[in-house]
This record gives sequence, structure tokens and C-alpha cells, in this order.
Amino acid sequence: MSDNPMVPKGEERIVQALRALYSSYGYAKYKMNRFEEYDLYARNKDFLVSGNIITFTDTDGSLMALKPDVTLSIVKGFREESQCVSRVAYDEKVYRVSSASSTFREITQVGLECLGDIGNVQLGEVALLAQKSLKLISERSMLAISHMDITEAFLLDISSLKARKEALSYLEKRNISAMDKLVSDYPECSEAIMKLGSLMKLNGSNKETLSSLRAMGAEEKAVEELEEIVSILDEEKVRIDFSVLGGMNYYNGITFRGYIYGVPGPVVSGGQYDRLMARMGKKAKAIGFAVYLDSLEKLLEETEEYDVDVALVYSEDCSMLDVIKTAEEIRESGRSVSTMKKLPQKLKSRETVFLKGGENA
Amino acid sequence: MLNVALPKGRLGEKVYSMFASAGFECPEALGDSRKLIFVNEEKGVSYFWVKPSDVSVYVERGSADIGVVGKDIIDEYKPDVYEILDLKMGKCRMCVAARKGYRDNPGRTIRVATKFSNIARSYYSSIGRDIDIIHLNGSIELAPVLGMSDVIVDIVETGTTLKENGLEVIETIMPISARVIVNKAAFEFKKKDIIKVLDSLMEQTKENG
Repeated sequence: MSDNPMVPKGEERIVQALRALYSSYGYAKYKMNRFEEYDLYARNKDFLVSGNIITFTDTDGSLMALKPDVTLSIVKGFREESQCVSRVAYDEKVYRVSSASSTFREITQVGLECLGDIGNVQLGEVALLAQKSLKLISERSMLAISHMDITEAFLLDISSLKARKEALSYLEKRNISAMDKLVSDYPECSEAIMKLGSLMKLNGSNKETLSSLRAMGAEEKAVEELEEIVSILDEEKVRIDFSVLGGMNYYNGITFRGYIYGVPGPVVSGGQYDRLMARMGKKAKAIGFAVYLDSLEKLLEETEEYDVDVALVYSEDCSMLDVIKTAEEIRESGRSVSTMKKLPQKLKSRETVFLKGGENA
Repeated sequence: MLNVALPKGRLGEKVYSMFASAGFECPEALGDSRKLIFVNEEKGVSYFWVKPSDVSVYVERGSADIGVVGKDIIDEYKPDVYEILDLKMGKCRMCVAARKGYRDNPGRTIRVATKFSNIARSYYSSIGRDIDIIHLNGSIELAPVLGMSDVIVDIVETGTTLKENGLEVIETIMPISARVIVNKAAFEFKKKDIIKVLDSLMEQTKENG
């Protein structure tokens, strides 16, 4: 037990800190139902991290789902107001299949969505919040950021649809060998494939990457936007990286993933998703991200040295009043107490106090 | 410290020497020792020898930053890692094989014995065939010989084992070779070392056809 039992541990502490951070940027807490109609997810299956959803039939016969995602519910409930921006933050349990175990897991997801008349200010602010979220979790973090408009423009230059699909999957996997092979397999669009492939080879500083992008003839407006956003972030902890891709049917503009040293997969994932908004009949733009706390388990593991500060072992002849009173007295000194008749073998306590026949021995 | 997972066996030893040429030597790694992990503090590298099919697990879970694994394992388990380089070594093919003279009956569910259930399933679903998968862990060739399965889906290197058991390849699903995979977070935090290895490996495998 810690000396101060009021200090929350691990995941709880991070959730609280993130909540405070988002609320300081004017994000209102959004609480939602644990269930949602299955139809919402069925229509936007590719938007979800995994297609597997826990479903059940409600009393009225409609097919319901345990929420695998939060963004879709927020977008669904969003009411447009011209020239305004709506900011919501959430921490919710979602249910999805973990890739490692292939079984359903309950995952704590914290995140925020900024919807409405989004401009540079909001894009920058959200990217900044993503970076700040990572910094809150660990000293060593990295935000990998890309701009889908740049990737998409290069992708559309590839005339063969089949090559386009393959090239995109190779870009995401950083598969240099397969991209090279694709160049020779499709001589008619080899130049365009090579250009897309060269996005994988931008491994220098952000400044170098930006100037390489300009030299490659990337869309200037998007490069400028990327440059502007990167300039407001902590330079040491942001990298332009075009293997960061969102589904083209949903995402456009800025897209990012956040990594923490010691955690194998992305911890933060997000971006601008005007296309999802359009698909769901909204005219507004939107950007947001999620922080996946389940992936932090390894990092947050804080094994307590002791199960309890004081084990109070009382004999049969002790009165209930004595036991409770003695325990309360010890607790008043700020230590945690567990009362018991017999000391379990595996219990590790800082000290053991024996109470016999009403006296503290 | 760069953590490297290598597959036990000849291929892994060859790959180790390529990593060593890239400036990450650790001579003890090739000794006869039963140890599984070898560290060279000075060069900032540690190697561990693992079962070939487990390399992708170590890399996906971040215990290894980089590893070398067959394309068959990548396609079977689909680990969430960067699949950066084809080393063009350890080449073989993923094939469908059956007893000599086997004739397919398209009107019947086909019984497939394999170690690679996911690859077999996705191959047969791509051609619209209903299959009954019999998952085995070894000696796959025995299944059609005993009549337990119609065909097998397995790796074929030279074809000798097939021939000796009266089987033949009826379809090649895909070519297989050794790939370099990298953990996604490691790529962000150990970029310099990883790029150094990759550049050198790329140079060293240039001649491999």
C-alpha cells in the first residue's frame, strides 16, 4: 500500500490527468450508452479497428451491439451549428477483439473529437493535445504524423487500380522490396509507384522531409499545413511518417499515431475524418483521436511490495469491538489494516500485530 | 540496445553473419552454447534464437525490435509489424499437393491437411471452394497417403519428401522467402540503428535474384 492511499495508480491516474488536460482546452465530457444499434457499425465496418462485434437481440427484436468504438456514436449524435465548433472528450469501455489473443476484450479508451467548422487552429490544437497526451504518459514518446492528401495525390497518379491497392498496403507495411517489385510488375505506371514508394524513404529530420516533399512536387497546400502543424509541436517528439494511413474512405488531411517507448504498438491513433462525416450525412468537418490504455498495461505495472501495511491477527476470544477499535486506531496513523484470524501463507504485510483476549500484545 | 530475434537453424546463422557485417557483431551468438540470449554491450546489440514460427510474436510484442521470418509465417499469423525487406534467401513455395493422379471433384467439400490453416482457408475462399481443414503440426504428407485428406497445403523446397511419399504439387499458392520485420514502436525510437541494419542488408542482398 502506498503511504497515501488517495493517490490513484496506473491507468486511473492517467485517465484523470487526460481528462483534466482535455477539459482545460474546453472539451466537455461526453457520456454514452454502452449499447448502440448494430446497423451503425455494419455500415462503417472498415472504420473499425476490428470487424468483430459483440451483438445481441434487444427486447424489441432489434440487433444491438456492445460499443466497439466511440467516434461513430459521437458523430451520429452531433448536431450541426454553422461556424461553430463542438468539442467533446470521453473515457469509455469499448469491446473489441485483441489481435494478440483473438478473443474479445474490454478496453478503456480515452479520447476527444472536435467537430464543426474546423480550421488550422483546431487541427493544430488537436495535434498538440495528442502530443501532450503522450507526454503525460511517458517521457519518451513519439508522434508519427502524415497528411493523407499528399499520399492520396501520389496514389491517384498510379493508373492501375490493382497496383494502387497493392502499393498502398506496401506503404503501410514499409515493404520496400515488394514496392520495388511492383515497379517492375507495372511498367506502365512505374514512375508513379516509385514516387509513392519514395515516401517510405523519407527518414531524415522533419525539415528535410518537408523540403523533399516539395522537391517531389507534393501538393503545396497540404505540405504547408503539415509544416505549420509540426512547427507548433515539440520537435524532438514528432516525426513525419507516411506509413501512417487511415482508411481513405474515412480520413483526409492530418493523420497521426503516437508511440511510447516500451509499448510495442501505437497508443494514440487519430486524424481528420471529414469523409466519415460526409458518409454519415454531416456537412461539418471533424478531427479527433483516441488513447488506448490497454496497451499500457506493461508500462503501468506497479507491483506493490506489500499487500497491506498491518495484518491484525486476533484470537477467538477477542471481542468484535476490540478488533475494530484497534484496527481503526492503526488506520488513523495512515496505515492500511487487514483484520484476520489466521495469517494466510501468501500475504505480505509490513508488520503483523497479534491481538489476544482484548489486549494489544 | 538493438534486440534481434533470429530463427534457430541454418537460415538464422546466415542472417546473423549479415547483421554482423552491418556492424552488429556478437561472436558468441554462433557458439555451441545452450544459451538463448547473447549480448554485446559494446556494439549495443543482443540476439536471441527462437523457434522460426515464433519470431513474429517476439517482434510484434516488442521483445525484439527486429527479426527475420519466412513469408509463410507472416501470411499465416498476420502480425502487426513493418515487413520491410525481402532477403531473397531461404526460398521455397507454398503449394497444394496431392497423391499422384489425384482428380479433384468440384462438387464435393475438399479435405485439406495443413499446418497453415489461415493460408489454406484464404486460398480456397479466393477460388470459392468449401473446405474441411485438418490442422496438423507435422508429417503433413501422411494425411493424403492414409486417405485422411484429399490434399495438403504445405511448404515445398525441393519436392523430395513429396516424391518419396507418392505425392505431387498440383498448385503453387505463393513463393516464400525470408523477410526482415520491424516492431512499429521500435522503428520510431531506434530508427538510426534500424536504418543502418536495413541499408546494409539491402546492399548485401542485392545480388540475390
